[in-house]
Amino acid sequence: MIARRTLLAAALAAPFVVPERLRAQAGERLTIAVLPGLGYAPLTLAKHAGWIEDAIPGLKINWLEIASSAAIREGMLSGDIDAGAGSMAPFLIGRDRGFKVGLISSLTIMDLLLLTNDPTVKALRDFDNGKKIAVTAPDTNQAFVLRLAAQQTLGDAKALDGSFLAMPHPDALQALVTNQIAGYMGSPPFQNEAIKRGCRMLLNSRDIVGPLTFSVCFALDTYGKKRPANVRAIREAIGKGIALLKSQPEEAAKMLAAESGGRQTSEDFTRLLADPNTTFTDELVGVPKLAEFMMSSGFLRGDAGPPAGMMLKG
Amino acid sequence: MSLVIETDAVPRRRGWRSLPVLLRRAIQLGLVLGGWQFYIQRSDVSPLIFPPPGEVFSALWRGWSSGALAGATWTTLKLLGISLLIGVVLAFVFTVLARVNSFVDDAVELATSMLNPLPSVAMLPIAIIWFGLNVNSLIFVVVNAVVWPVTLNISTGFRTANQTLVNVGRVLGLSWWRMVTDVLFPAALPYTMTGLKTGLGYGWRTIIAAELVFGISGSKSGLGNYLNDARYFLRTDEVFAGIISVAVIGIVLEAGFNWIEHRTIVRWGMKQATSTIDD
Repeated sequence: MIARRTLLAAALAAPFVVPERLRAQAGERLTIAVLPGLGYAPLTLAKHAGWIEDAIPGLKINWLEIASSAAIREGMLSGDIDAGAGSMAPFLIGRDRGFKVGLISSLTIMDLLLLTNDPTVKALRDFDNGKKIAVTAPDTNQAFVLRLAAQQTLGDAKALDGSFLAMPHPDALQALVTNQIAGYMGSPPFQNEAIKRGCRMLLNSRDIVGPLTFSVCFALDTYGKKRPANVRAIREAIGKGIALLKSQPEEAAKMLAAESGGRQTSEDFTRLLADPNTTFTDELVGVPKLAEFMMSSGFLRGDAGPPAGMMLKG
Repeated sequence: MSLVIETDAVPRRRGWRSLPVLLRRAIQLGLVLGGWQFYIQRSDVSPLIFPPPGEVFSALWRGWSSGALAGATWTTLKLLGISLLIGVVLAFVFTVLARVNSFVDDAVELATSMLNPLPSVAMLPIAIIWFGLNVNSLIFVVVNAVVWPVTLNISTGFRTANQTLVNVGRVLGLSWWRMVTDVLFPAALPYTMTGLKTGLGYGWRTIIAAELVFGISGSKSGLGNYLNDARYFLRTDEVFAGIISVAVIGIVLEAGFNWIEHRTIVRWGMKQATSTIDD
């Protein structure tokens, strides 16, 4: 009986204890989580050059690379991650669900390509349950560009949802070139690699939505209030990164190659930075159009508001 | 279930155990829900981390009435049913062959002892390489989860069949096939039921785990995908609703099996009704 009572007490007490511990603040440590990919290059440069540490002496930065926007969001909710970077659509979804976050800065505008290696696939309508399209997740920019394309050409925003397959970029690239999947909506550098290996482009996001902000850096509203100086330092470091990427792409490519741990050379990065599909900018572009479509197709419950209102105060 | 002998010779005990079962369950469930609600109100925890019970129940209601959860459940159960069928047929074939040929017997024993302890989801990467990114991979993994415990149990049933009955069969000159169908299978029925129940339990866990890892999104997908989608779109109430649904369906499947067991082998006296010694 005693054991049972103790167990019951423990079971009841557990929810009181666990989330409290998870929400504990880490003090003067700043944890930044980014997704893999070229879209986060301004932050990669900031990491390499130590710009944020320079601005806030004594600050220790913990850099994480996490392959899923949802995981980054969960890390921020539990208090393990202070600032995150990911694609625009999951940020809008999070805000819509009451996840109180604001933008530190936009990072890129990217043209996302839908690629195929299957000779029988000529248009969007050729995808079905047996012919899958890989996207990193059903809540990313890629998925929403495809939904908008489905609405424009097939008349139903959710016509392709049944063919979506959530896969990380490297796996999707591999599956596409080996014909395990029929389509892949990627991002640089993965889409460039797919084309290099003989895949065809079916559509370009620019033809569907026009230029669209792809990657953004954001933090919790509470973090912005508590550490405005850190937020400013991240924002300025991103600005420096974007400026360097534009003015001295070769220098930036060298730094990015050093950070890639030898997986890619500075020549690879120089080529990628010259790709017209990628524009590094801290301006938000095309966001109202994306948000409007997400609302009309039922993925957002409310109006996302003007882009200016999405910025983190600080 | 507890072994409480309700006769007048034993004085009725006061306290918790003297309450009717239904009331005890209701009080415990009420305590959990009350504690949950109390915690939500006292701490200003974000509903994105820990949604209040009301929100979870409305998500459950929405999910089941809109057909989203029902559809996902149907997809998952259909896959589970197909895999169970294939798994059980394979298990029967393996056991019968093992009975007929001692080489096969050894091979099946080796395979069972190697593959039964392996968590079947661990086979998912190889299944994807062999079968591609489609439901066949899921079926393969679930069949693998089902076939070994069922095989193990049926073959134990065969081995422990009453030797006298087997000898009678021999004396009567039964063919190996009639020996299997008329003597061994009936004798192994209680073990077969246990095997099926274990297989079903393993299969259910495996299919949910595999769907969670597999990550197909979209309309024609199962419960694991429902959970994944709810997570991607930050619908924590739906994540809770999905988990509750998975748990309840697991309980219903198990209860259904117990019912069949009571109707068959317990009624036929092949297995005693279970009772635990408690308190």
